[in-house]
Formats: sequence, C-alpha cells, structure tokens
Amino acid sequence: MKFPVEITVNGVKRRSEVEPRLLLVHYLRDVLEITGTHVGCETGICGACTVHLDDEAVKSCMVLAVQADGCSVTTVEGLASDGTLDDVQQGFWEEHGLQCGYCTPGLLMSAHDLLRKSPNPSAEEIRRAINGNLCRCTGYQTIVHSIQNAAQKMRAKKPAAAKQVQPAKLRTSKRKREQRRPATV
Amino acid sequence: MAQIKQTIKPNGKYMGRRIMRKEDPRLLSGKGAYVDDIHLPNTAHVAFLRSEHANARITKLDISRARALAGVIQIVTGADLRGVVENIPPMGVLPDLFVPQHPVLATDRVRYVGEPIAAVLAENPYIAQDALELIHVEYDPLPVVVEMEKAIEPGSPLVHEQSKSNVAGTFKLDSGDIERAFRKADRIVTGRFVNQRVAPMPMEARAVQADYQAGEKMLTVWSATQIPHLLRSSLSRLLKVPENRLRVIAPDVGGAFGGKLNVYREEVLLPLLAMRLGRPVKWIETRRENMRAMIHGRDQINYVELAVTKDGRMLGLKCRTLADIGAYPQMLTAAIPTLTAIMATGCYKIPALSFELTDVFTNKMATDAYRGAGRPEATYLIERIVDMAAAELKMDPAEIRSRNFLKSSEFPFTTPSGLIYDSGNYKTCMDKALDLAGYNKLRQQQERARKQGRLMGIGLSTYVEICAMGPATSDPPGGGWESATVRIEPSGKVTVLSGASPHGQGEETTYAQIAADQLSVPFDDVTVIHGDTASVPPGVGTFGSRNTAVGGTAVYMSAQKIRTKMEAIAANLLEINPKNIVLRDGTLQSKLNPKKSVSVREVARAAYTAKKLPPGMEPGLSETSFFSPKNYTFPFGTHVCVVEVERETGEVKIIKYVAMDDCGKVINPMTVEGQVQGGIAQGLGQALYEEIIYDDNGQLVTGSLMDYAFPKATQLPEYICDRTETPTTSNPLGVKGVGEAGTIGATPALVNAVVDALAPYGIQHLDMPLKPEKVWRTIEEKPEAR
Amino acid sequence: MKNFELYEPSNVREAVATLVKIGPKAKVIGGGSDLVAGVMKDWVQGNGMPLPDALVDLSTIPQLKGIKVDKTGATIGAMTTLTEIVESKDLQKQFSLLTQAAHSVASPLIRNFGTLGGNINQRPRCWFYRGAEFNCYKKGGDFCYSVGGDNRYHAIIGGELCYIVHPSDTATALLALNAQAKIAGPRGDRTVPFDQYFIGPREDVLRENILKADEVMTEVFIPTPAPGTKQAWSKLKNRQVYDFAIVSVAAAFTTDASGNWADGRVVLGGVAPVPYRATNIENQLKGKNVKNSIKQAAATIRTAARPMSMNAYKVDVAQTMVERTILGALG
Repeated sequence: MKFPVEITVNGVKRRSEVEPRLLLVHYLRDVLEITGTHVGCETGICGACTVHLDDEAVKSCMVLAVQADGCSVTTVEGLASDGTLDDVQQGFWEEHGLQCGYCTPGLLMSAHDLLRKSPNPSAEEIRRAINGNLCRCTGYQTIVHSIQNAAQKMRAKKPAAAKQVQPAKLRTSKRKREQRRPATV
Repeated sequence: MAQIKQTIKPNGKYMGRRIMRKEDPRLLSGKGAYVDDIHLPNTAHVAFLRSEHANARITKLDISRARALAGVIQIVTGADLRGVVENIPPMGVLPDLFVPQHPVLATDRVRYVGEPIAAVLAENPYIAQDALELIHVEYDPLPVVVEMEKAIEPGSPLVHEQSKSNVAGTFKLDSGDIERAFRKADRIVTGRFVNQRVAPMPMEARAVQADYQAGEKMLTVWSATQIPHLLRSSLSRLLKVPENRLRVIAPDVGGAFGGKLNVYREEVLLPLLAMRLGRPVKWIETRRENMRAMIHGRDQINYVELAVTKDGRMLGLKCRTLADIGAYPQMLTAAIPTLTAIMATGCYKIPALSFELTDVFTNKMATDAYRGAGRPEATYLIERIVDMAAAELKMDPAEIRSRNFLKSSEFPFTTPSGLIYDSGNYKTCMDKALDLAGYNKLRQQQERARKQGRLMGIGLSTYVEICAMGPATSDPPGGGWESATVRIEPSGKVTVLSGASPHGQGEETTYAQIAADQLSVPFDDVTVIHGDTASVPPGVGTFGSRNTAVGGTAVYMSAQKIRTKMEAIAANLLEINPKNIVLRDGTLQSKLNPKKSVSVREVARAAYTAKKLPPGMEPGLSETSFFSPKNYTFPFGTHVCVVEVERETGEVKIIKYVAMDDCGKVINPMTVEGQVQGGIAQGLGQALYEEIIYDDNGQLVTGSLMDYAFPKATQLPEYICDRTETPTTSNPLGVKGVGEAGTIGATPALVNAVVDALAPYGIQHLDMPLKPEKVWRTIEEKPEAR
Repeated sequence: MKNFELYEPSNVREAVATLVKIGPKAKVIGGGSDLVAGVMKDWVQGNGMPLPDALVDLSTIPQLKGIKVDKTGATIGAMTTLTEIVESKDLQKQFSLLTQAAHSVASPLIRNFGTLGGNINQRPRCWFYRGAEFNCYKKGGDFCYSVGGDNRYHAIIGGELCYIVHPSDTATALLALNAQAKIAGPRGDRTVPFDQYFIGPREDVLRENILKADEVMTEVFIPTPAPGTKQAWSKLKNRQVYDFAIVSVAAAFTTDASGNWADGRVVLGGVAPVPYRATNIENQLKGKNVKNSIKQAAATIRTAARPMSMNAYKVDVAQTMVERTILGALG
C-alpha cells in the first residue's frame, strides 16, 4: 500500500506515492535524489541526516516520509542559493569546521536551529546543542568556533533581530491538512 | 580560543599559511559526492546475510522463501562462488603466519559474528532487508574462542583446525644485551597494559557500487576506500579482470581512519555481481554491519618490563605482546603489531630491547590499521611504564623523560630496532609544552587540591611516531612511493593529478598550495584531482600519515620539472639563456632585465602551440613524478593532560589539554591543527569511553552507536595546540606527516593524568577505557580508600 | 525496516477502534524515535514481541498536543514534544523538575520530534535486549544475558528474571511530582497515577507499564505542587548507552519553617526496571531536618539495593546523587 504525500522541500512542492515505511531521509535521497543529507547510522544517533521539518531540526532517519506529509523540509541544499554560502556555511569554512564533510550537513542544520533560538551562544551552549551530531574528524573544537563565527556574522547583519530570541514554532502544518484516509479499516 | 599560534614563518606565498580549503564549498553545500550519492539507473541493491554465531558449522541454508519474494533479483551464496573467485590474501605477513582460507562468502563454516554468508540482490534496499529475514540458516554451534590469553592455552578450542594452535604468527626483536641491562638495573618496573579493541567508526560506513559496461568491457567500481589503486590490483587478481579494464573510483569519502585501508569481501563480490547481472549494483553498509564487519583496531595485551638505574636512566626494555587479530587476517592485520615492536623504545635512548610478539586467532572480526596503527600501542606501553618508573623512583615524570631523551645532536639516530630517526628536538618540544601548560604551577595546584581531598592529576606523554610510509625497500611495512602529474593547461590553469587518495585531510588544498608556489600561479588557478584510477597516475593510497610527505613531494617534484621546462621555453621566447630566467609573480623574466618577461600563461600557450619550442623539446606542459622516500619520517611531540577525578562517581573531567606537536615543515597550519585535534579526540575516546565488547559467546555487545561510545561535543575539552618545527631530511619539503599524531599522543597523556590523580590511593595503573564505573571500582578496591 | 500498514486516526476514539480491530500487532507511534528508529529499524524482535504489522500514527490527532496550566495543575497532551515542554514558561515556573528532566533527554534533535508519551512508554535500552542476536526474556526468550554477562548498566533494585532499567527521564520526574496518566481504551477513559503505572518483570516481563495493547495514553496531569515545594533533578550519564541515565534523581518536597522534611518524594531513574520511588529515604527524612539527616537517609538506598556482579558502583553513585540533589534543592 502506498500513500500519497506532499512535502515542500527547499521551497518546492513535491508530490509522491510512498510506502509507509519509507524514511524521510530515504525519500529525500533516493526518491527526490537530493543527496546532501547523509545517513550515518540509520537509528537516530549520529545526526548526519538532520534536516529542518517545519523549521525545527530533526533527524530525518527517525521520521517516516508520511509523517512529513504536508510539512516543509529544508535540507543543506536549501540553505543558500546561486552557489553562495550562507553565514553558517561560511563560518564553518573559515574556521575549518569540517574535514571529511559527511556529518557537516547535519551539523549545519543543528547550528541553524541553535542560532535561531540563541543568537549569541556560549561554547558550552553550542556543545550541548550539537550533542546529537557526531563528528569523528574534528574533535569538535573547530565546529564550536565555526558556530561562534557564524553567530557573529549573523549578529553583525541583524543587530536588532538578534536580540530577540525566537521560540520554536509548534509543528502544526500536518494537522491543517485534510485527513488522507479514514483510520478505521 | 586556543589555536596554533603562528610563531613559525610561512615558507612561501601559499605554503605554510592558513588557507581555506578548496574542498569545503562543495561539502558545505551538500554537493559532495559520496558513493551513495551516485545514482545509476536500474541499480540492484545488495544486502548481506551475516552469521549470528561466532563459531559454527552451517548445516542448512535455505534461500527459497527469500528468492520467491517479489523484488528479489538473485541470491548468491558461498557455494555459487566456489572456483569463481579466489580467497582474499593478506598483504602484511609474518614469516610463520598461518594464512587461513578467506573466502568471499562463507560456505560451511563461520568464524565471527557478522561474517557474510549470502548476498541478496533486490530492486531496493528495503526489499533486500526483507529477504534477509526470509533466509533460513541452521547452525551447529562450536566452542567459541574469545579471550586471547585463553586462546593460547593448551586445549583451547581452535579457530582454524588446520593450524595447530591459535597462535597465528610470531615476531621477535632483540637488540643489545638485554640480560646485562636487567642485571645492572637498580629497579625493574613491570606492568601489564591492555590496549582494548576499538573501532575506527568513520561517519560514512563502507559503500560499494559497481557497473560493468559490456561494450567497452570496462568494470567500474566506486568504493569508499583509502586505496583505489591497491583495490584495483587486488580486484584484477581475484576477479581475473585486467587492470586496464578496471576503473576504481574513490569519490568523496566520509572518513576512514584506517578502516577503509583494506580489500574487503564485499568489495570483491559487488563487481562480480555487476558483471554477472549486467546491471549496476550497490551496497551501502548499515551501521550495525559496520560495527561487526569493518576491521577493528588495537586489541593488544603488553607485558612490559623496564630496567632503570636509581637515577632514572633506562637500560633495557622487555615486552611480551599478545595481539588479538580476530579470525581472518585482513590486509595489514599482521603488520600492525610489528609497528608496536619497532617503535617500543619511543623517544628514549634505551640500549637494549627485547620484544616478543604473538598474534592470536579469536572468533572475532579482524583487527587492522586504525589511526596510529601499532604506534599508539607502542607509545602507550612505553609512556605508561616510564610514568610507573618515575613514580617508583619518586621522580617527576618530566624529569625522567628529560634524562632519557635522545639529544637533538644525536640525529640521525639508529634505534635498537634498526630504524633511523631522521631528526628530533624532544627536550625543546617538551619544555615548550610544559611552559604552555604552566606545569610548575599545575603541580602546586595539585598539592593544594590533594590537601583538600580533591583528586587532580597531571599526565604527560612524549611520543615519537613513524610516518610517511615508507621506503619501498623496508620490511615491514613499506608503503613505497606515490606519484603525481602536474599539468599546466593551455590557458595557464593548473591541474594536479594525484595517485594518493585523501578523504577529509584536505590535500586538494595542500597540494594546490605546493603547486601554486612552485609554479608561481594563483592558488585559485589550481585544481587537484584524485581518487579515480582512470584519470590519475598510479598510486598507493592514504595511510601512515604519508599524503603530504610522499604524495606532496611527488607534486613538488613534478612542479619542479615543469618549472625547468617553462624556463627553457621562456628563454627561447625571450632569446636569452635559461640560466638567467627567474619565475616570479606569474612571469618568467630575465634576471638581468626584468622588462624582458613572459607570463606563465604565454609560456603555456607556447608549449601547446609548439611553434617556438627549443629544438628537440616535446610540446606540452605536463610532468609526472614518482617519489619513493629513502627513509620514514619521525614526528614527535608532548601532550599534557590535566584531569580531576570525582571520588564519588568516578567521573573524569579534563581541565586542560595542551598539545605540542612537531611534524616538521607545515604546508597549511589550519589543516595540521585539524588533524591534531581530531586525532586527540579519537585518542581521548579510546582512553575514556570506547571499547568493543564481545561476550563469552563471541556476540558483539557494543553493536550499535548507542552502545559504542564515541565521544560527543560535550565530552571533549578545548585543546590548546602549538608546534615546534624540526624539518625532516627524508623529503625535500621537510614535512613529516601529522594524521596520526594526536591519536598517539592523547591516550597515554589522559591515562597518566588519571593514574596521577589516583596516586594518593596507591593506584599504579588501570586499564582503559576509564569510565566512571571502572575508576570508581579501582578506587573502591584500594584499602586506602576506605 | 519491515513493512507495515499505517493508520492515521483523526481522534482518539478512532485510534482506539483501530487498535481493537487489528489487535496486538498494531502499535501506536508518537514521534517514532524509539519504535521506528530503535526497535523496528534494528529488527528488535522475538516471540514475545513481534514487530508490528500496523502503526497507528497519533500525530494526526491535534487534541493530543498542548500544555494547559491552571490552578489545579498542568495537563500535557501525550503528543507534546519534549522541546515544547522544555520551552514552556508555565511549566518552568511550577514544574521545573519536569522541565529539567525533559531537557536532559538526548539532544535537541530528538527532543524536537520526540513526544512526552513516547518518552514515558519507550522500551528499555539494555544492550542485550536491543541486540538482534540475544533472544532474552523481554523479547519472549528464555534467558537474561545480563546475569552472567556485562551488567554494568543494569538494575540494582527490583530486577528479577530481567534486569533492565527504566530508561525514561520524564517518567522519573513525573512520578516525583505525583502525576497521573490519562488512558483511553475501548472501555472508556481511565486515570492511573504513575505510582501504579509502571510494572516490573515479576508482573509481566514483556511490558514495562500497565498500558494495554488497545489503549492509548492521551495526557498527563500533574497536580500543582504545594506552595514552597522544592524541586531538583540530576542525572549521571556516561555516554555508554548514549544519553540514558546511569542514575538519575528526581526530588520534590516541602519543608517546614525550621527546615524539616514535611512531605515529598524521591525517585530514582536508571536503577530499577521501573522509576524507583525511594520511600525508605522519604521515611527516614520525615519530620527531620533535611540538611542534617540527608546523609544518613541517602545511605538507606544501600539496604534496598542488590547489585549484580559489575554494577555495585551504581549503589554508591545513587547514594551520592540523592544527597547532592536534595541538598541542591535546598539551595
């Protein structure tokens, strides 16, 4: 049995039919062929597959594609356009926040999640925020510096907005949709 | 923020400078291409049925239900491969090594949990997994060999019945008069150190894709590997496909740390399946598989004895080492522990050495190269026993090291194992590290802390390692040459083609720095290509901290050749003597009259239009070099770790971490810092958290990332890093290599610190990993603690 | 991952009806952090726990989400995410124990999608239970591998047959706050205090709570604590078995004007197959000056504990942490 899903990925509405067991990460990578999001463990531990689901960072290997139906998803490919890098990406580049690059897309998404909620995080706060993202190459210090660097760039651009901490939005878009099918058989 | 201070002057416009990496923009924007990102139409997906038993006979294998599942294309078992594909031979061997049959798929017998038995090909990975659940296997379990010390006892069950015992092979190293050294000693310090089994655990697990183009008779294999060329040669031999019909591509590789320095069963089978099926095939390893069937590292027990005089001079070192190598030797399995033997005396002038190594078969996955590969074990055993000697003699750990260091005037120095240490400045490096850490103050703090009942410890580790693997003539473990082609294109842009195969270390950047400086072109004009055997010159691969020292030197040599050729072309164009040409700021100009000049681009154009070349000169600007080093390099350093142990919970908190490394000349201090820090993280990971645990039945207890504790951001400290710079004489760049230094230095520094913290309880040693429970238990067992 | 049917009920009645219709091989899914990413993807199965044939996704029921705080207490929908709990100012004000416990769960990435109901009802993390090769009691097998194996993270209290520890941080906190669960089932709704919600292996080795296969936990109610209630949470993790507690302590109590224990609860996580209410400790403290008697009271954990071969350290750690947590709550 396949289910129709409509998921907005990086601003583009995508419609597909998927098996209920298909994970969001495989939907992105194998159905849509948007491969910047990586799979490191498939069991919700390493965070390489982190994406934004309705603006909240989640591990896309723990989410069924059908659970993302009606939602919007942002992957690393959606962070910047036209071959440019956004502040967080640039922050990582300047501070050597990556080596093999495999965990990096997930870390960028977690960093965005943190900086949205806390524009001027301490090193300790950053370390706690990226605890769900494993990196085997860097030893994390350059990642911490990268995120501090990114925060600085973002604050420099939006000094007013940066002061205001924006709370997470409730993930509600799925509820707004009409029910796809009756629950009872 | 603690960063490497730029106290050392760069040696070029680009070389020696902190240059942002070329590879990063693509990796940061999700445009990297790892094996699983490469999608070929009509791909069949492979999943492996793996043994649930550590030692068993397979009595029945029924694939019929799985075969019937919709979406299953084919199922291949060991029986299908008999006579089709050969056993996988190890490369690093000992003279007496028992080499067991190592088939691609097990047939009637399995010897570790995770050993592949059958391969399912299906239309998608989900169906392939479904099919695995439908395969019925019956096993006749056999007694399991888990612990290496029990494995060599008489009467132990055998991993391989064809061998007389579980001793896989032995290696012995004797140098100097060891018996006399021990007779003359005032004290003999002894220790038993367990260097536990750990896993490389790159974030990208293994991944293989293969495609056979029947028309061209060309077999293309994409693999997350460190050694595309060696893999190609192996596949050629095992599959009987000529090398010029085989193309191996290592695209972006998501870390490896030695784990991908191998030829694995799955890597051999996939290309075979692609040829049989006539479709592309792909296998992406799951993390659970990775933990069972990618090589593990370390797993040694070292019995160490150090003969010292009462003033702390080291006279002789005896070591008896058992190495658990698992069930089937992989590529370098047997070679790795020999590195422990040859590096056992470390930074010290110890006149006599006796090292006895025994490799032991067990019903586990093989061990092989994991970052440091034999040297972390060497450094750990010598640095632990030196600290124990210092404690015994009531001498400061820095003082005993200082008294025994090789002096900088003694290099090149021939060690008891016959290695020739190239250069070193051990005392300077240690002193600088101690200064940076504030060692004397720390000792005073420690005294105060102890009076308050707090457990503070300071640990030192002074290491020397063997890198830039290595002279082709040496045995073991060689490594040999590396090659590079440097080409100035007709437009003046530069392409570097390297046989080395970096995977995260940043050589697209460092090679470009070398080429740009040698050719006087802008850094952005250089592109580095690697990892594709069809487009790059022959290569060996990435391991043993050799990429810059060996591969980088090949780039340097090719650039030099091009430079000479450009000078000749320019001289011809300018009608002056080539000896009077100087390359500067992108132009070749006359030393005597700088107005007489021609740009690199113009010379490039001239090289390809070939109208005004010196008589007899071939057109083009492309040169290839092979660099085969005459000697290894020996980087060194001092790490200082300060910890506080919480008495009630056994938790170890790292208060300060200082790393002073010397890897010779440096091309890019930023990537060097990255290598050091990442290495430290893995070294601390082993010291504090990581261990592969098999139970008595050979079942893997730490079978997922949930249970195998590789460190997270909150568990690691800020590192304070600095360097000294002692160039090597082994290559013209003076670089020594730094990929493994951090891993080698960190582990003993941390353990020494914890033991130092626990010294008030009379604790002399505890084995890694130093998790709260173990630290707590070690304290509890001491009567002083009650 | 095994294939399954998916049901998306629009209300709780429909969800229950679906569970009744399909039977025990249907399971409800909240965020899915444990059921999908843990159990199903790792094929954790056995005779006593077949992998589900059907999932009933509760995320399609808007009523199960949300936090309401009034004079009587806080009502939290079972599908409320842990992040929503952590960020709720209302909860922070009066139920800081829950806020802290929720904040100590895994990482933001899990908390953003993981739900309160899922956290309370997740399956244990024992490495034998989770390993496909170990057919243990909890999966319907005939052995507990921790008894002769590596049991450093297993139960020190209340183990029998099976020596798992309850993995939920929020459950530990909720029990200390005297909360109750609201459960919907085919026979109507029922309310069960967390005191009676969790069950050990002696009662049923295949489950960790009284929730029946055709029931759904819909919300959690926490009564408003008495004025002046002191609350504190602490958790020792060591990154083995990821972020789950070696020992955690949740304390909520009141003292009189002279600092004597009036009323309250001390609950430990990570030590027993259920969140363990340390009534011994509470009784020891009753009417006594907390500061002066906590040391002695905390030591009573030793009489309750029956450590296994490798986990005696947990007893010491528990004792220390109880002491520290309660002293910490006093400020």
